[in-house]
Amino acid sequence: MMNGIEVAETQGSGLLEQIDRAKGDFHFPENHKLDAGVGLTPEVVDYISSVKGEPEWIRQFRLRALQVFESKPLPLHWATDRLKELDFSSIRYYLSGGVEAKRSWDEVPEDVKRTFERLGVPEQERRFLAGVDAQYDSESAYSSMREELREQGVIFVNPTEGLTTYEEIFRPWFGKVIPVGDSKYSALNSAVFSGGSFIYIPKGVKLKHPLQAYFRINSRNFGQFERTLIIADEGAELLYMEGCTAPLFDTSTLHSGVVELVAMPHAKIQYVTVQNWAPNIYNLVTQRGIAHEGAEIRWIDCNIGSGLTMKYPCVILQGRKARGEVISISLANTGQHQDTGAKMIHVADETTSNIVAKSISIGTGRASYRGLVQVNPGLRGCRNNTECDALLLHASSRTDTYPAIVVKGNQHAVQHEASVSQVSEEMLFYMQQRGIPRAAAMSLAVNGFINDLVQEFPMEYSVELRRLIDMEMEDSIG
Amino acid sequence: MSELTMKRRAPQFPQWYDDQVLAAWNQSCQGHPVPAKLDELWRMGKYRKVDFTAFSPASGDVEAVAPAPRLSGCCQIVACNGRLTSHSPLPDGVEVLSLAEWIAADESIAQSWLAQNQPSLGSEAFAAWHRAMMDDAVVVKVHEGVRIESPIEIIWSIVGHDAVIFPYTLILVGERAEVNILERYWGESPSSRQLVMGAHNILAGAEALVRYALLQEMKEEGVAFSLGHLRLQQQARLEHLSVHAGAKWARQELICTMDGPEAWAELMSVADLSGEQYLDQRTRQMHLVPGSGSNLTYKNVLRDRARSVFGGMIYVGEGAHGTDAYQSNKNLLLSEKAEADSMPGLEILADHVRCSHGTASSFVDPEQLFYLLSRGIPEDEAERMIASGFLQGALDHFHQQAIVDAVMAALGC
Repeated sequence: MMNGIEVAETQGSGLLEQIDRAKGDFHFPENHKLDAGVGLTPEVVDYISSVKGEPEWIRQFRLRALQVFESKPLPLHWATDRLKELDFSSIRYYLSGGVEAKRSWDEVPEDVKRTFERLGVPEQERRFLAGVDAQYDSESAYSSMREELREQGVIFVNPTEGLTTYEEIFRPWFGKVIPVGDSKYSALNSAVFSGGSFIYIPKGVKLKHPLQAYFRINSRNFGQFERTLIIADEGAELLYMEGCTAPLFDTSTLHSGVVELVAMPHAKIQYVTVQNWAPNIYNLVTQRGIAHEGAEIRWIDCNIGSGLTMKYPCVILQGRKARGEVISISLANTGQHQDTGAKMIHVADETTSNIVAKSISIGTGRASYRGLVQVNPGLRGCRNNTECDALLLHASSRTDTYPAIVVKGNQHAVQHEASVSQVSEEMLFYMQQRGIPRAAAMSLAVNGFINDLVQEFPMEYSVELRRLIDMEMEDSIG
Repeated sequence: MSELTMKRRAPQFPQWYDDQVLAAWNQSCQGHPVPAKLDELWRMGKYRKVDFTAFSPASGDVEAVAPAPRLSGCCQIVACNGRLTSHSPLPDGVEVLSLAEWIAADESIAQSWLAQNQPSLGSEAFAAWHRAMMDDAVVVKVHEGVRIESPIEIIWSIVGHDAVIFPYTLILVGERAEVNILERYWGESPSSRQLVMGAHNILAGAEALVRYALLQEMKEEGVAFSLGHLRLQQQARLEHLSVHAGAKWARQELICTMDGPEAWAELMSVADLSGEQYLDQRTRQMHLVPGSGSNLTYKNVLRDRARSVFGGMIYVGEGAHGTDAYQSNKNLLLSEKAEADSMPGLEILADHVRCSHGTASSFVDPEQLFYLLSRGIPEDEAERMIASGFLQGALDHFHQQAIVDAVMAALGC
């Protein structure tokens, strides 16, 4: 089973003629015909909607979003000029369902295979991750989990199913947390979204196991324009994990996802993302959650890959005593720009928020923190603490910090601090003197820098993360 | 252009001066300066609250009015309605020149210096307007090795309704010299709408020590817009203090560039805002050479419906290793409707640096307040003391007590 409807409808209907060949050797079997093609027009949007068999209201939603997308300029007055390099007319917005790009195991680049080896990725996962297999071949591992979820009343489906079969649950919140016009990229996603997770956790249900979006029960679930909406009803709790540490190669160059979270009173949602896209990819994501009274939303965000990532997880603290938190680690190697951060909007009394962001810049990499903490007028007792720390490993590394703090009224305490430093020569000398090679010493120092944050990740991720960071640093002793 | 020709009351300047003025006038959109749309340096700035076209140049024909000096026993330089009117006897080793005198004495230097408009942070058109419209300047030259113990007070006063002046102060401090300066922008009448569009430049030579305070004391309807650019040579030390004691709307842009290794700049600001006052401060600490340092401490007390905006940037260029730079903006909010917006920033392109920034906005600590109340101090007095102590912390880095006392008196603390 693949991504729900797309597959069922178009099985055997043909393939694409050409794909974005950003990296290497993806290819398609022989039979093909033209379908959506490259570029974005109302016809493409219509095509996507028909292929999915969507009701009219979703088609109209998409078409209106397309108009908004076209009317908005690029946000170059604050964002990096690299955005100009992205050519919207050469992107494929919908991959004809049913058949995925494939390659044979022999064609997978050596360094990819080595990465899997080093990260300890299980054998059966490697072929899936490398794009050799279109399906993750591990039905048994997930079947029991599916049963348990069903018994608890948890709904975990793709967007089309969510908006049709479970319309009464998801439609009221769809596009409300992140409106179409929020940015050019949210409008784009609203026009062409496909793939993603729609999840509903009933009242009082506290999930014991994390939901792994990446293998949403056996189907490939990361897409160019995935759309995720998670609703945790009163008192529910959920840990959701997306992405993986292994490098993800995709045929597309733009990943522009939208993630909306709704935490009803006293619910708790933790959303963990580990992103390691290939360096040719633009990763422009809009993530926002609404936390109602007594609810908590935590974004735990790790950005290692992609050429340019722009992502600012946000929590709107809408109910009294709601809590928002963002824990962010980003690593920018040569050629990469990680432009990440957090936004906390306090709209109710006694709400609290915490942001901890740590970044590492290697080679000529650039890591930027961009944030907004806003406390609206007429509130009392709100608190925020923000801490951003940057570690520069080389003389050519770069880091920037651009926070904005807006506080209205005299009832709140908001503080922000940021610091920039490098690995101290003394520390390295101390370790080398005890026989630890310089590279290992650097790695220890860097791991120490992010140690507190890595511990927030679920264990299997934290182990892989450390290995991944070590690998990133390997060729860059200094 | 007629407004411009109206202003040419000064002695005849060389042709190059008029050419420069004309170029600047064009860059200022013919005297109607606006910030660029969507400029990040005006983010949260309230440009539209002031109608900059409603002011006309202060008349040179009124009787000179200046406030009493705030520093006693020091040298005073007075400029009324934009023109240098008098100065008291100067100690040895210090020269004070008007614009005309400076051009006459150092023409080629003046020409190349004035060819550039003031550097600004998002207000190029305003800098051009200032350049085109300035009537006069106060140029202070301190010779090499001269140490001036007693402070110098420069007063720019403005008289007349809907009037604008364009003060320009240039302070050139020679190597190993030392000087302390208090500059004041003073508006005459509480009900008059007046605008000060001023600029100041300080060039601190190698190993020089300069302490400079700019006290903005416009009245309730006043508007103040100041552009500052400071440059430090190697091992120079500069203590720069901005004080906002008045004006309904004020914007300050300050760029401090460390041009030589081991230069150190202390940048401080204090403001006590009430009513509907609005203060917008943008700063940039530029570290382009290795081994220099800077420390910025900006503190505001906000009451009633006052609002402050702080946008600061520490920029460490490639190769500026060994930089130490700090930035801190602290806001004490005393009322429900007060608002503080803070956007500290860092752009670091070198390593082996120590850079950090911090900002905090909060209310009076209830325990501190209780401590004072329990000793019989009435609540509003206690709050005043706490606010005063809060601001005093920023002044700890300014080591000229007479000037510190003068500014605290101006703030009413």
